[in-house]
Amino acid sequence: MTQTLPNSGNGKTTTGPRKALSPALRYVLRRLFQAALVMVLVMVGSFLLVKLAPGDMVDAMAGTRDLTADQMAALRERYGLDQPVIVQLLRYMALLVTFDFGYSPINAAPAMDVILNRLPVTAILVVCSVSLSMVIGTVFGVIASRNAGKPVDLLLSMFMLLLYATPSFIIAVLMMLVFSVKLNLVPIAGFESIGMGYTGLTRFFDIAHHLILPVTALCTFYIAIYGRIGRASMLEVLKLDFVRTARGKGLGEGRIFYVHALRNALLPLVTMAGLQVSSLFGGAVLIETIFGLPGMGRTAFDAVFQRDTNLLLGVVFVSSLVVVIVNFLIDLLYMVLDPRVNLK
Amino acid sequence: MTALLEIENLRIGQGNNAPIVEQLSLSVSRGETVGLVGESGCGKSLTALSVMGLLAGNLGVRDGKIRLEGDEIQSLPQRKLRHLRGEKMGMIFQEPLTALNPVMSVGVQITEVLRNHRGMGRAEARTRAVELLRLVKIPDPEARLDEYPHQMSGGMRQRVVIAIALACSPSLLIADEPTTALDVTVQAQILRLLKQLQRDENLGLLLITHDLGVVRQVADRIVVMYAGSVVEEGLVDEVLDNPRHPYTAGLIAARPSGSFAEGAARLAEITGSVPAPADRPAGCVFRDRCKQARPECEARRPALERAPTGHAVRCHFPLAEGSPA
Repeated sequence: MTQTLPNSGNGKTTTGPRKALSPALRYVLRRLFQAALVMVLVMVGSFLLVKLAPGDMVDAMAGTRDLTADQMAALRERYGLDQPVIVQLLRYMALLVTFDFGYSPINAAPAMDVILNRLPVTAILVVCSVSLSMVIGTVFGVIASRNAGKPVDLLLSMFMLLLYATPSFIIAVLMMLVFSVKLNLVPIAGFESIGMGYTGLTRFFDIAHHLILPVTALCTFYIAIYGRIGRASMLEVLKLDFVRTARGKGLGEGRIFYVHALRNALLPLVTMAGLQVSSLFGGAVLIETIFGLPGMGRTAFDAVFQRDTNLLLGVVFVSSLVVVIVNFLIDLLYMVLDPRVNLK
Repeated sequence: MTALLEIENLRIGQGNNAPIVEQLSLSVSRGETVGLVGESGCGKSLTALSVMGLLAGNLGVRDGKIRLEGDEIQSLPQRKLRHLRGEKMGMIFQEPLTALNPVMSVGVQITEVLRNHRGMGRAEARTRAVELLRLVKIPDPEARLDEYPHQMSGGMRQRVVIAIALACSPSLLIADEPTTALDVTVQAQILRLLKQLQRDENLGLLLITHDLGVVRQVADRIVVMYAGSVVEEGLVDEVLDNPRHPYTAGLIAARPSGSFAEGAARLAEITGSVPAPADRPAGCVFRDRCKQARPECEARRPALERAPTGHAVRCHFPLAEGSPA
């Protein structure tokens, strides 16, 4: 997206005449500006989309609380829902700048509080799944590529195909049946034990115990993806000329494989990690629902069905922000991994 | 001169298919430059890779012997062979742009050879790497050591590849089309550098090329390959001034005259193309493209006959001594 490969074959990099801003600072400023622009576009787009849908939050309230037409009109006036859409949009954006997401009627609390309450659940879920699936998938891919064509490779490839083809919710339900219902090894649902008042390390282990199944369910598909990408990427890199040079130098196969080839093969995996974070952050609805986890996906899902526009838009804002930040980090990681990637 | 590298009756094949290289014998002595010449696909590079023990996939040496300073390469275990690579023989490849790892600094790529074979420490290897870069005439070597390949030109990268090949002062250097991918001016520099290094370090240099001009400039002896085997061999001047195999004569005639004058001769060409290994004709493999071909050529494959001068040719009816090329 923002990296460029410089022409091969030019001489030393020139530092050029001194500019007012260092290249690194200019780069960061430009990225910040891009990020702000993306956020504004996402929020305006989402706001208008939500307004296009029939029914508003007062309709949703009326469904649960027997409101008269007068009361509904009064509520609409109070929340500014009687104003033209463009006025509502401007008001909303003005609030958003102060990081105020407005009031969430279904939770009877400020939407920001609701989101801040649920963000850690999703954050833990995503961080655990991404790191676990990336490590396991990459190891699988590397083992498969190192044994390409041999039985180990075939077995691993078949296993990965199975993981790839089985929907995660089926794996989730199966694991629930086996490990929670039959074997009673792990809790069937929830983020932590309620009413136990655990703190510190005990609480940490309690949460970990609860998250074993959901994290595993979120991992399976991505382990297959990382494994397949990793295998293909390694095999691709191993065909390159510099691997022959490395062999010609008399280096050991281990060094050729894990130092020369693997570092080159990591780039597509890092790209995949960025995509995985983005898609899991708001997209783990099914798994969050199955395991009764109060995460961002669940929150968005509930907000949509109960016409809680403020909460929904808040979730959209936070998820987009995470995506933008993760993209930036991935670009920085690219620069670390591949010296050809420039600050451009 | 004692032979440094001896290849005897080498046969290289892919799986059970027809051999790609056959009946190939050649030798390189210390301090000698041998030019291995032939069209693309005649098996030059495979020969080089088989010497390094780097044939990949289902390619392999099916028969014959390769000896480096008396050690038979095919019978060595992988570990020993790995030790010879980089330590006793170095190789320079055709594509300097892709021959170096793009994500590792040039310094690391040079020092890892030294650390691997010589067990040098970080600092010692770095000092030697600076010397090596100076040896291949890279200006400002200390600074260049921390650069990445993409920050260097093709010529500079080829110098780095040469520095890597020479890191452990090998006795044999194999250069597979080292200048083909470079600009003409850079080509001349690299060739001069190779020649100088070869003299200074008393290296045996096996130079693979399709460019007869390069051979004339650099080599002492020439080995001409056609369709997987040697067709002519001898001292460079002797062979190029006095080719005895019709194929060698054809190659020489096919060189551009270097003149743009209106009356300059058009390029002569050898009609037809190199047959694929499976389609090589019985008898003499060149007979389909040979103007002098007679029934005898189909009946029997000619052997490589060596004259007392050392000039060898594989042809039933070699061109007469002194006949014009």
